[in-house]
Amino acid sequence: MSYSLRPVTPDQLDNLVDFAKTIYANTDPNKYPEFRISGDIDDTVRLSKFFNAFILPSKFNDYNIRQAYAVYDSNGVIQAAVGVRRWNNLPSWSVSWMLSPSIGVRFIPLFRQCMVELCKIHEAAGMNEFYVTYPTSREAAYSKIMLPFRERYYSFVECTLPARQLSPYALIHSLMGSALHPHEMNLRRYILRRENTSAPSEGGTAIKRINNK
Amino acid sequence: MNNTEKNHLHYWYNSDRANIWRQDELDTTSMSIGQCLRPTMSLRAELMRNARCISKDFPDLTIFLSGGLDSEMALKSFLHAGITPKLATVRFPNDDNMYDIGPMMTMLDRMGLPYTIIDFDPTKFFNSGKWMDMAVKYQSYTFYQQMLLKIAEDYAAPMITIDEVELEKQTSMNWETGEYMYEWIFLKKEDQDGVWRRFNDKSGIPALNNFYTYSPESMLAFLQIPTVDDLINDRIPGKLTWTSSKMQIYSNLGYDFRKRPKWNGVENYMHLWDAVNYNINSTGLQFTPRGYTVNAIELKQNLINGIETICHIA
Repeated sequence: MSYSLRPVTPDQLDNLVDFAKTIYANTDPNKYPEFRISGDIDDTVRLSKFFNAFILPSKFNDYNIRQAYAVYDSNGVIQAAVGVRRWNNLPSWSVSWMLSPSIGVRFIPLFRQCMVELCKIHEAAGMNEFYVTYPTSREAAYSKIMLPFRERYYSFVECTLPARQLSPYALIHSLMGSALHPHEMNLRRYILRRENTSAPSEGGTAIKRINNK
Repeated sequence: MNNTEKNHLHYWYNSDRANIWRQDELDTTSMSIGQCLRPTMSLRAELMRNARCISKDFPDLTIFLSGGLDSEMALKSFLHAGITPKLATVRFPNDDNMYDIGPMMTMLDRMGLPYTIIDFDPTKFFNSGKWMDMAVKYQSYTFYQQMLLKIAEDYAAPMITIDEVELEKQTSMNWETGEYMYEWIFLKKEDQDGVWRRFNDKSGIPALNNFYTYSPESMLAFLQIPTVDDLINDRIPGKLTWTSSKMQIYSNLGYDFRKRPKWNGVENYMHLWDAVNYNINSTGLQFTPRGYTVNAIELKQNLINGIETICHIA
């Protein structure tokens, strides 16, 4: 099965909210922290406000600094939705959220294809670094699912944030959704391998500079 | 209350034009700049007109003078319009801002204009935690505005702090394609005009913040000054803001003024400014402050063509 990504448009907000509600209805409510999305009590209003930030029309300044994409299968059926955030302090982006009813082995190819497409979009835009956050307990699973990306990207865990602690670094705090997570969280960085990104001494071999002076 | 002529400068959150209070981090926000409704005069004439209009609405108005060129030119506009307003300035302990307000006080003495000195201790204000009250009460992010809000609360009478037509060179980016461009923009920060509208709403005290931007016509007159036109069309190399061209621009008004370095007046309290910036989230004000930006050339064209400009911020 192949998958393709298409930006979600403002007129699809209600569909996106319904899709999210269906997925959350089948998820353990204790799985996620309380994100400071809004003070609204009503779920529909709260979710609408959140997803709206990812599908703003182009009349807004920086309208696509956040962007939601729908992931379609080859039959044109939506299989997932993903939201990305672009960062204005470095040419980089991050996966903000992903919604999919698929689990287990069905989820792996979908997720990988989605990430391939997102990398393509952002590399073309000159953004050669991205960040993913996830519970530390899921490290093995994340490493495995993202294994193919290591051929093109350097990858390492930048930091592990203990449960119920906030990072003192503003960027990391933002990447964690500005939320207090109930479990230990990893922040993993992916940096595109390019020419001149390897140190001359990489691998322990120092390269002696020839100086004629 | 009219903050500007026909409230042409207006700020709101989400899609409700009446909503001036931010509720969530992800609230969108917008600014409108009204359309010109009559032929534009020279900047000098427009500013004198602004002075007359503001004084008509608020006859008992006090101008808060900072010591900077913006407020001095505003004062001279009032005086040349035949209006002698009440004047006030804020003095910090140990002459900590005397380098800024001192020359202005000397000027006022020489002109024979009476003024009120309001003594205010920024350190005491910070240590008391009252800056947090101001931050939360009026959704204000910076120490400077929090101090002014406290002073305005205590003053409890019609007053105006003087703004500017702030111009900066910034990048605009299409995050999907990576295409970007540098452009000159007209900038208003969420912490500036909006906070005074919230102050009016909550306290009922008429406190204004718009003099140079009081009418669309005065904004256009400003943008039509040759130096400003050179700036926004990138004909003056190396400029990133309008600040270093301020004296040249204001010289178009034809008023005598003392050449001076640029101060913000709180140079001796930057540690407190930084501390507020660092601790602002602990107040419960969990929002990232934003700036309203409009391409300056586009704004000028809209003003010339009598079109309202609306800026939407993600």
